Amino acid sequence: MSGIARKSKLASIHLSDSGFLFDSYTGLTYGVNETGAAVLNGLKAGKGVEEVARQVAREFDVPEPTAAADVREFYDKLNSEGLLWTR
Amino acid sequence: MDKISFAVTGMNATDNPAPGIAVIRAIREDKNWQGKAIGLAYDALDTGVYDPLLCDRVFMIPYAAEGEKALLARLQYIQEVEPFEVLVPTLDAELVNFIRLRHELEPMGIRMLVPTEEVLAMRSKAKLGEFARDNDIPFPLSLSVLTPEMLPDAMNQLGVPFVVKGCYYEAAICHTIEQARAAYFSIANRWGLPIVAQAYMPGEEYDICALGDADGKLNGAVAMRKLRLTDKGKAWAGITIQDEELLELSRRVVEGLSWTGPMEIEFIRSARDHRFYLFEINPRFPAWCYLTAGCGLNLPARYLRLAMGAKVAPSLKYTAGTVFVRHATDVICSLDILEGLTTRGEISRETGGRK
Repeated sequence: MSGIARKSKLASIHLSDSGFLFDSYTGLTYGVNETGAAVLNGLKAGKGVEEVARQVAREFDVPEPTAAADVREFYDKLNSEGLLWTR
Repeated sequence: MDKISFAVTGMNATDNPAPGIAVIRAIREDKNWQGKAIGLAYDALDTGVYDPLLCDRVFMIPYAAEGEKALLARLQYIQEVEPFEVLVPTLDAELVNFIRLRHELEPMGIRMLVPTEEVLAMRSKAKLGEFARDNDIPFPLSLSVLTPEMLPDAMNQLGVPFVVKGCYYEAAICHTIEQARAAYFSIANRWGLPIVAQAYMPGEEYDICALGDADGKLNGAVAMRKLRLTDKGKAWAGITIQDEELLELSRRVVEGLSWTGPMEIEFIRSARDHRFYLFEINPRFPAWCYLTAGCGLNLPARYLRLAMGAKVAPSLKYTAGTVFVRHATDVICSLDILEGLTTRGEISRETGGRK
């Protein structure tokens, strides 16, 4: 209908050091914790989910399978909130 | 920029604020602007005329119901004693009078950016559905209601709840036919007919302040999500957003109408299908238009330049995440101001309120 293709929103997500997140498409704001911010920053930097999970495992000293499951769950949550792609 | 003095209507900022104050503040914010700001008030107690930082001069003007001849006579007087180059009408109900006077005002050196009367009619609440359908813009099902007897059939078609809207202002969400009848009479008594009955659409509300140039092309637009509403549904806080789809739809609205001048376009992003639905167009700057100056795309200042015939490159660049929060405050003034407005119908700030 609109003629505008679905595209990644990650570049337009503003994330502050305090974990305050602003979606410039919708105007909605969120709060994320330190781990969430690390995941988001990794995704914004263009890393894949698996790579971000390995980074989280190293940075927060958790087993890789646990980090992988948690990062995937958080990624799915971001997706369901409409924060990853334009609708 | 040369000195450009301008006059603005809509000086009353209550819980349903008129846009004139925001227009003046935005233009004053433009560092290149020089000139005088003239407030045109309908009532001696229009709140904005009491703010010492807003208007250099204030004149009372006749109510729209007195017709365009009375308005023209008053504008001729004002132009004699305090000449100005640009006029910014900001109220729905007065706009037709100003449009009809356009050809008298231009030779007087008063310029406006306004649509034609025909184009104005195309965006009326009663005709908006037709326009949206013709331009492939999603729009909630709407019906024009001319008598209260038409309400039950409208309710059957729209389902409950549904919205009863006035032709200029006001809307009520109605769950029963009794509520719809009460809303019909209340709104029709204040704003006249037709009443519009519209399908209720739950979702997030988004507003766009847009400006069309003299050729009906989009010159600029700022999109905003309402953060807080009054009980009348007016935005009391908001935040700028950047959504290409929303701005593209806004372009389609402005250019589909060949609209000249400012407009407020209201969309709802449906909670059901996440699409933007057009639900209203107001033929003027919105009361929150000062936000356009705050986020870097000063649309009232652009209006001034475009009205003067200057070339202003179209732009959709502004800072997303700019917030406005409205707050009410008290202004203290001397008796001179009230005296000047009620006895002479005018005041000048240069003389402390005395003529």
